[in-house]
Order: sequence, then structure tokens, then C-alpha cells
Amino acid sequence: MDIVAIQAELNALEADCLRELEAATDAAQLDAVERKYLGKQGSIKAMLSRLGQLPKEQRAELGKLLNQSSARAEAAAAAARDRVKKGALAAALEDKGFDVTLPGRLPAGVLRPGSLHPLTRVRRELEDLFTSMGYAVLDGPEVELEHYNFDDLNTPPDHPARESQDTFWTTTPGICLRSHTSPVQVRGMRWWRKQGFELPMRAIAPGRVFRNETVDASHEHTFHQLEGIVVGEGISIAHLLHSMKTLLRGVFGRELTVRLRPGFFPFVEPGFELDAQCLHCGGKGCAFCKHSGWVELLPCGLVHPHVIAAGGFDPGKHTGFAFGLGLSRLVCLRHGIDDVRHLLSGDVRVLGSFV
Amino acid sequence: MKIPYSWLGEYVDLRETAPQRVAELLTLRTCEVDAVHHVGGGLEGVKIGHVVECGKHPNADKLSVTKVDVGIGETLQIVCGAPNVAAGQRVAVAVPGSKLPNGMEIGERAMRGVTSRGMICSERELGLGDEHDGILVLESEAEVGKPVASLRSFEDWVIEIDNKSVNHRPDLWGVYGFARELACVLGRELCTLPGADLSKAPAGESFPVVVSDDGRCRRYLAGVLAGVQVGAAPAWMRRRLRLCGARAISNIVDVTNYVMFEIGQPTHAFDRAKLRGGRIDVRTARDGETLVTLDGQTRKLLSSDLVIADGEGATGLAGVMGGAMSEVSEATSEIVLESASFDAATVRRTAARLGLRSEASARFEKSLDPEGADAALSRIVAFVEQGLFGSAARLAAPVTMAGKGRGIRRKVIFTWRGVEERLGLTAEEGRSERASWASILSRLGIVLEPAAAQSAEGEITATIPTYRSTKDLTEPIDLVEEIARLRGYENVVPRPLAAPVLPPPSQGARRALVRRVEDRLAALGFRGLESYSFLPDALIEKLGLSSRSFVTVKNSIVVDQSRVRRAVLPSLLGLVERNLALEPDLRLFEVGKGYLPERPRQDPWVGGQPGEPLEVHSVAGVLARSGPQSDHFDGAIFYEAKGFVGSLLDGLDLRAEFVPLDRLVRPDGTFAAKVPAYLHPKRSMIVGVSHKAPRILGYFGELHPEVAERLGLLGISVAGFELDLDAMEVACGEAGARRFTPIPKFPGITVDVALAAPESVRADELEALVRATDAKLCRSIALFDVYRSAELGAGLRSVAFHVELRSDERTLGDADESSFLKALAGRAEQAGFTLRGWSAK
Ligand SMILES: [Zn+2]
Repeated sequence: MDIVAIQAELNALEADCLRELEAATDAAQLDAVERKYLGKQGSIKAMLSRLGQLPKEQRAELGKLLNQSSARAEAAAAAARDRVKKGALAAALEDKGFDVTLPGRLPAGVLRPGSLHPLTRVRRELEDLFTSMGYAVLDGPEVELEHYNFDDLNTPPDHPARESQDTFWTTTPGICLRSHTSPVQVRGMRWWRKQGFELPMRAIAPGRVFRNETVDASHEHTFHQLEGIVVGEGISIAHLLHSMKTLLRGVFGRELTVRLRPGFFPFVEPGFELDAQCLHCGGKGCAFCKHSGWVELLPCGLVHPHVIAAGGFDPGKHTGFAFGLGLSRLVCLRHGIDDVRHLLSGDVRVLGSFV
Repeated sequence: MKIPYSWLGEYVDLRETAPQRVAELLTLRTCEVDAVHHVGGGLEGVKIGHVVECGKHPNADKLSVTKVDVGIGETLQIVCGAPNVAAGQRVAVAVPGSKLPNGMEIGERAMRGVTSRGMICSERELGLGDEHDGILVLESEAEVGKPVASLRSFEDWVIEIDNKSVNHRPDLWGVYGFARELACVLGRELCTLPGADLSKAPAGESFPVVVSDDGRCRRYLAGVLAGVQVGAAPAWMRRRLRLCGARAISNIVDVTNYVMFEIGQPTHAFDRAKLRGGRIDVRTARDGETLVTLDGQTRKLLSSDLVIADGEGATGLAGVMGGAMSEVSEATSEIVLESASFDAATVRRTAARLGLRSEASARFEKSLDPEGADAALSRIVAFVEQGLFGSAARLAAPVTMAGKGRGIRRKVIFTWRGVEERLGLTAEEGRSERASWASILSRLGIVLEPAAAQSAEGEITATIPTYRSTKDLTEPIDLVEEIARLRGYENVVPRPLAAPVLPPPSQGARRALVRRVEDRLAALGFRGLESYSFLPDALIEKLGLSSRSFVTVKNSIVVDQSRVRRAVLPSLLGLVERNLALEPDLRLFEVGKGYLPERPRQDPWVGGQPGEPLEVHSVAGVLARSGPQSDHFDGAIFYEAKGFVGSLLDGLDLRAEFVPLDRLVRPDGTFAAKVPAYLHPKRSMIVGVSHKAPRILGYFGELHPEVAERLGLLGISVAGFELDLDAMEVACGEAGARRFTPIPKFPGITVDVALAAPESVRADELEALVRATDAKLCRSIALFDVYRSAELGAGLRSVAFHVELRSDERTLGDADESSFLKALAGRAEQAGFTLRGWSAK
């Protein structure tokens, strides 16, 4: 063989390679072409073995030609690779009528998530709000001694207020289902003193309470309250008002216009009802506020000296304020629940709304 | 309580203060006003008419044709269907062209051929009430031609007070009390209550009264009224009573009611002729004594009741209801008028026991001022002098005044500094206000000593008027309230609470635990709920819990709200059936409380009686599935429950241990722990942990098939669990923070082994056997297959495990695997089992 023939063969191979590279449309085809011409066993590389057939002085020349040829083929291969990649990217972005509106789905084996009860959510939120302000969260029994539910709360036997709260009495004398969370005021004060914690005592007690009354969309025999109490020295109505405004800002996320007016509860003196300007109409009057422009939100007051004494503090020195928040009512307000009986119904259609 | 605005206006000048403003002021300063109703409004076209003639309608039996003078010069011919229309009456006439509050337009029309011009109105047509049986007959002195609205108390506004908000104010149970309150709020004068001078009664013999129980009757006045003519009360008075919600009955009853609504003091009239022995004894009832009350009921009395007795026996229940025997009738000509002060608690107890709550008892039980007895009697006698009991009626003899008590004037000692502190004012701020505070107290009738009290730095003595001394104003804080509310709560400037910056006292362990439990269960697909604490009787029956003791409510208005649950799971089981239709793959949980009455707590603060029942705080869950599913083999739900409980505890960093019930038998045959009767006895387990000490946390299991049948759940997979949060909290403390497992230095090898053993051998026994083969190298053992076949033989099953062997010293090789298998084969053989797919090399 002479160099001319080999050279012609090489040129033909190179031309074939370039044509096939040109024709390749994906990475796999490119791989095959490269393997065929440029791999270790590839036909262009294989030409090297032909060097031995040539006279010594022509070997260098052919070697040079071979290198040039494979360099050109490799460059063409790189260019082809680039072309194919760009083509693939363009194809991936092409509109193939992909329907983004089909519903989302979880892979098999993933559990349907459960849910937390709306009372749990709102209670947690309030607990977090109060603990951030240094309040402790207390708990008290739901089956309660008459003594804590009434006597210690300045409501002695024959007090008319015992009548107005429709209490569930148990067959054991002196034991009832608590009609409010207020018994935790006295239990809490005693605990605080016994532990020797610093004053002012600040505590809340969320929990369920019971009233023996006819139920309707806005009355339940079992519902949830959140009691709050602060006891220390020099606590005043001014402190109470500030704390209540802060609490409402925390709950509603904005400043509410509020007013205090007289309210009667035996265990506070003076006692108040705290009204907020109607959340729906802003005070203009609507069905929600019974056209008064105000909504009753928080019964509150200064802790009665008798209750301070029952809690083991010195009524001559210690004063405080207490308040009660209707948790169930707040939950209904927050989530737009139109019937308070939904809360304890255990109906999955209600629970399922709070995933 | 309903307070007519016009009535208030008789005692305090309200010409510049509209009814709505009165309601607003009361709301902001005194008590809750429920509503203000306008009555008798929109009657501009309704005139006072005089029925001049009244004759039969020529074509209709039930109609009358009248001629009515309405002061326009000519009479109007009006056809009227009311049975009570009669010539001579003063009536309310809607003249042609007028419009009634109900929208009806009055014109001229023919009625059965007779022209009718206008209409004679009933109460209902005037919007005054429901009465529609006949026309409204007005007082005979009403001036013809004037609008009906010009009559006394015809057009009015009724201010409705929430009774609960004045329970603490005995002085506010009548119109006059509210007038006094308004006078104080508005800074206006309060007119004196009209009353006769009782000392000017003619000489004669007073009615004999003995107060035997002078502890419970502090004052008893009895006035004899002679020449009484029983009839009707004046129309204006009847209108006011109607506004207050009372029916007109007779002049005697109406006047006593009127005075009660005005002053708040109930009184009672006896027919003197029916008081046997001509005397009264206010005494304790005798046990077993009976009395027929005004409502005709025979009442059995107890010694806790207070009665008004005549010479022969009880003839009235003091402060609650009179007796039928001494009731005033049309024939009565002489009455004994009782105006007295009875013990509040006695009246309350008797009224409550006999179910006889009346306007009178509601007032007496508020602790009325004994002085009210004098005021009421003198007010009634004034009406008698105006001829309301007939022109001949008069006080016949000096009024009897029995009993040892008069109104008291309580003294309360306070300081201005104390007031300032409660209001949140500095001494300086307070000083500038003291004069106005002193004036507030003085407007309330409170007398301060020293006389120049506003400049006093030390103690001040406040003398309270009798009508606020019975229970209302007793302590310095009560005076603070009076000053604060009349000063105006809108004048309180909020001040931030000052407190040392400290974290809240740690009480958060339970709260944190509950949150972790709730979050974990929600992540595991359980829906959190809150259910009622009451268990319906039918559910108790179905769950087979009838023999358990429950905290039981004795006065529930609904039967199913009587028994308080002992645990939470029963409540959830009661919810499965109706929810399963809505959610076929049901998972519910609740964190809640149950109560065990047989285990009362001892309360260190309340001596002499057991404390509240033991409270159980627990988390319960229920899972249920209806309909066939691919992995729905018999018992699948049990293993799911077990899986969920294990995962729940894992989420709390607790290692759950599940113990079959039969492993908890004590040597004497009793169980160390049990599951409730509503769980399947063979498909339930005790859940425990043993971090520092073994602890039982609770149980789980499949629903008992009989219970399932009774709950309508037969053939449906139901399982439940209940874990005690007290025990979990202790266990979490013992487990401490989860320890980090170091990353192994040397790789381990996994060996799969299968043991063939009799069915009676439990999987955990086989697992223990595998582990015991080389406890040091065995790092984990996981069951992955249970297999039965003919080839294995009847009564046998093969249980397969992945076993991870690993050493901390070296990399394990094939030799370790074969020596482990050889040892295991030996142990298996010893136990009578076979290690399958293995032969000794
Ligand atoms: Zn509104």
C-alpha cells in the first residue's frame, strides 16, 4: 500500500464519520458513531496499525494526517453532541399539551393526613400568646368541689348567683361539674404560693365547663372557657384594661376599640363586661351585634378580696384582676362556625374541615 | 325586669334625656339593658272617642252600628264587631285617613250594607298587646277628640333590664331605684316618693300581730283598711302593669303589684274576715303542716319555711305566696295589708323547693331593705286616700308595727389612697379628683366623716343608706366600684403591668407532651376531636359497662347527660357507626379526661369531706374500616392499631413494649392488668415501657365482637387504644432525651432465617430465641414473613426474620454467618423447632 491509497481511505472514512455525525439525532446514535470511528477499536484509530506497512519516512507524515483527521472528527463529534443536547432541551420545553390542571396526588403508601380540632388550634395559639407574656398555663378538675366552684369564689350558699348558673350536681353531696373555669383562680393561687413563685402571679386555665341548660345553635351544655388571673401588689383597673387590650390585639391581630361597663360576678369587684366595637360592622350596627354596635367579649374585674383571701394571699396587700374568655365562642367566630353544637359533635365532616 | 320610661320620668327629670340615652347611661354606669321597646307609638290618627249610640246591625247578628263622637262636630257612624262595645264608653278610634302601626289604612267603607267611617280599635290593633277579644275601653274621664297617645302612660318606652345583672342590687328591683340611680348618674334631683303619713291614722285598735320567728322576719307592718270596694284599678295603672308584664286583676291586687314594681317591696292583702281568730302570728312552719296556696295547690310545709298564721293555722307562705283561705274576693270589705321584711335565704329556699318563683319571692331573696316595708305601706295608703279602693276606703286604725328590726346604716372605713390605687392613679392625680368622688358618694346618699372628707389623708368613715346596706356596699372595694363606675369607665387610662422578666413557672411538661401526642397522631392520619364528657345510658349498656360506677349527675334536664365517662375510648366508640358512612377509613383520637368516683382525692384545703373523684387524663384513639380491601385480612386492624401505638410512642422517644394479657397472670390467678370489657379478650394487649422501671401506659385491641354487634358494627374492623398521660409523662421523664447511636465502624451482614415451629409458639418467642443465639452480634431482628404450607405440615408455621449481625471490633465474614446459623440451628432443634433451608456443613 502506498501512502496515497491510505490517505484516500482515511479521507473516505473521515467523510463517512462526519456524515454520520451530522445524521445522528440523539446521544445514543452519537455514542455509536464515535465508537465506530473514534473509539480505541474505531476505524480511524485502526488506521494507526497500518503505519507499519509504510516506509519509515512516510510514517511520520501519515501519523500527522491521522492526528489531523481524528482531531477534525472529534471536533465534529463535540459539535454534534452540542447540537443534540440543545435539541433535546428544546424538545423538553416543547408544548406537548401537558395538562397542568389534572388533580395533584400523593404517591401510594403516603398516609392521608389527620387533623387537629379547631379548639385545639385556638387553645394552643392562646397558650402561646400568654406564655410569651409570662403567664403560666394551669389546669383544674372538671368534676369539681362545690366549695371551689362557689364558696371560695365569694358565692356562699343562698347566693342568687348559684341559682343563675345552671349547675350539674352529682349524686355525691358537694360535688358538681364545674360551671366555669374560675375555680382554678383559687386552686392556682394556692399552688403559686406553695411553690413560692414570684409575684405578680400570672396564669391562665383553659378547659371545659358545663351548664345544665337547653341547647341551641348558640348554647351548649358543655363548652370551653379560658380563665386568666393576675395577682400582685398595686394591681389596678388601669392594668386590667391594658392587659385586656393587649390580649385582644394578640387574638385578633389588630387594635380593637373597646369599652368597659359594669358587669356582676360575685368573685370580682368591681366587675366588668368588656365590649369590643362590632367586628362585622365596625360599630354601625348589624345583625351580629344586635344593632348595638358592640359585642360582649370578655367578662373581667378586680379579684374580690374574699377570693384573694381564699387563695391564701393577703387581701390587705395583694390585689389582682381576672378575666374569662369564651374559647368555644372565639373558635366559632374565628372559623365561621354557625352552630356551637358542631364543636363537640365528633362529626368527621366538621373535623375534616380543619385538616 | 321591665321599666317604663314614663314612670322613671315621674321621679327624675328626663325631658332632655331620650329613652335610648337612658338605656345607654344605665348600660355604661349601672347594669345591662337588654332592649328598649317602643309601645303605643305611631297612633297619631287614633283619637279618643265617645260612643254616643250603639245599636244592632240590621243585616248581621254579631255586628253593632255605633255613633261615635271624636270631637269633630259630627259623630262618626262606625260598624264594630266587638262584643263588649256599649254606649257611653270612651274608646280608641282610628279616624278615616289614618294608619295603624300594623300598616292597616283606615277609610270609609260599607259593611254589610251599612257605611262605616273609621274603626274602634282593640289592644292588638294598636300594637299594645295580644288582646283581641274586644275593643280597648279607655278611662271615662278621657278627653274626647284628643289623641289616645296623650293619655297617661299610653305611649311609652319599656327599658328591659337583664335581671342577672342586678342580682347584687336589692335597691334596683323597682322603678324608683332606677330613678334614684339615674338622678345620681345625671346629677339631677330625685323627687320624693309620695306616701301617706301613717302616724295620722285614726285612733282605734291595731290589728294584733305576733312575730314569733323574729330572726327571719325583722319587720312586719299590718294596716287595716275598711270600707274597701273591690273593683278595677284605673286604666293608666293597668297600662303600666301591662308594660311591666303583669296582668290586671283587681284594684287591690293591682295596687299592691304597682307598688311592688315601683318600690321593689312586695306586700300582701288578706281578707280580714277570713283571718281566723282575728290575729296574725309570723312563725316557723310545723313539719307536716299543710297550706292551700292561692294557685289552689296543697303545699306540705317544713320547719325551714316561714308562715303567716292566723288563730288556727298557716294562711300564707311568707314572701312567697298567700293562702287561698284568706284570699281577697269581690265580697271583701275589710283587708289587712301586710308589708314586711322576710329573711332572703328562707324565701329563696321555700320558693325553690316548692317551685313557686314569683315576682315577690324574686325580690325578697335579694335581701330587701326593711325600711321598704314602711315606704310601701305608706304608698298604698296614699292610693287608698285617692279613692283607688273605693270612695269609702280608709285606714281604720293605727298601723301595727311588729318585729325587732329596722333598716341598718352600715359603716365602711376606707382611704382615698386605696381608691386611687385600685383606679390606677397616682396620689397626685387622685388628689385633684377627690372632691368629685366625695360628691359621687354623697349623691348616692353616702355620708362621709370627717365632714371635710375630701382633704382627709387618713381613714374615712362612710355611712351607707339603708337601701344599700343589706349586702351590697360592705367593703372599701365596693365604694371603689361606686366611684369608678360613676366617674366613668371610659376615663380609665390603660397602664401596662410591670413584672420582673422571668419565664413562666414550669408547668409545661404535660402541655408539651399533649402537643407531641396530638401532632404525632395527626401526622399518622388521626382526626383530633373533642367529645362530650357524658356517656349516654344506651352506649354504656352496649359497651357492657352497666356494672361500673360513674360520676352521676342528679339534676340533668336530659337523661343522656347524667353519667360522666371513666375513660375517653368509650366516647370514641360511640362515634364510629355514624362516621363510618362518611369516612370508610376512619381514624379518630381525643385527649380528654375521665373520672373514677370510687377513688376520691383528699383535698388538703377542704376538710371533712372527700375531694373530687380521681381524674384520669388520657389519649384514646379508634380506627375502623368498612368494606373489603386488599390487605383486609382477619385481624389486620389489630396489627394496624399496634403499629400506630408503636409509632406514637416512638414519636415520644418511648420504646413501646406490648404484653399479651395471659403473661400478666399473677401466681394467684388474677391479672396484674386488664383491658376493658369492650375489647376483644384474645386480641388485646397491654402497652408498657421500661426505661427505668416497668410502667403500664394503657392498652389497645380489637373491639369485642358482642359489643360490635350491639353497636351495629358487626363485620367491620374496629380497634382502639387508650394511654394514660400521667404514666406517659413519668415514662418520658425516665426515658430522657433520645441517645445518639454512633455510626458503626465496621459494616454488618444481614442473614435471613426462617424457623418452623408450632402455631402455638408466638413470634416474639422465636425472636427471643434468635436474639439469644448471639445477643452481642444481633443488632436488629425484623420479622418479614409468616408462611404455612402442606409441605411444612399441619399445625406448623414458618416465621422468617431479617437478622443484622455486626461487631464493633471487626468486619464479619462468611465464617461468622455460618457459625451463627449453626448455633441457631442447634438452639432451634433443642426447642423442638427447625431452622429451615439450612444444613450443617
Ligand atoms: Zn355589628
